[in-house]
Amino acid sequence: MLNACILLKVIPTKAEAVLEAVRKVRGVRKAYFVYGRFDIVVFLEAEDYSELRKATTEINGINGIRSTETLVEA
Amino acid sequence: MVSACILIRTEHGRFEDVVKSVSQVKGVKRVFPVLGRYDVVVDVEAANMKELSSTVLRISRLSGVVFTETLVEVEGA
Repeated sequence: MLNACILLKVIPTKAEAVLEAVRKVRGVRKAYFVYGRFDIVVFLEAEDYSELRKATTEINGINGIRSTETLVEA
Repeated sequence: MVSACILIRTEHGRFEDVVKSVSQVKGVKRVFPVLGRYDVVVDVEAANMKELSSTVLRISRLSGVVFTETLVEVEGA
C-alpha cells in the first residue's frame, strides 16, 4: 500500500465544494480543512504508483483548486 | 477528535530513524517517508488541542528532526 499526502490551496468561495469532491475520490482516507499555509490536507492510499497518479490527477482537476503540493511515499 | 498533518525535514539521511521514533509516539496514526520538499509526513490525532500540541512538541524534539511544519485541522468545519 502506497501513501501520499496532498496539500491544497483553494479559492475561498469554493472551499466546501472542493472538500466534498476530494472526499469522493477513490483512495482518499482523510481530507480536512487546516490552518496555516494550506487550506486542505488530503491523505491518500493506493495499490501502486499508477493508481496514485490517477487519484492525484483527479484531485488536481477539481474546480476551485488554486495550487497543490503532492508528497508521495518514498 | 482533532487531526493534524506534520511535515518534517530530517537531518541528512536520517529519515528512517525519525520514522521509527515517530511511529512510537502516542496519537500517531500514519507516518511515512516522502519525496518532495519534506522528508517525513505524519498524520496525528488527539482528543483535544492541548493533547495535540503536546504530541506535536514531542515529535519536533525527536533526534534527527530539523524542521517541522504543522497543519492543524479546523475543528467543526
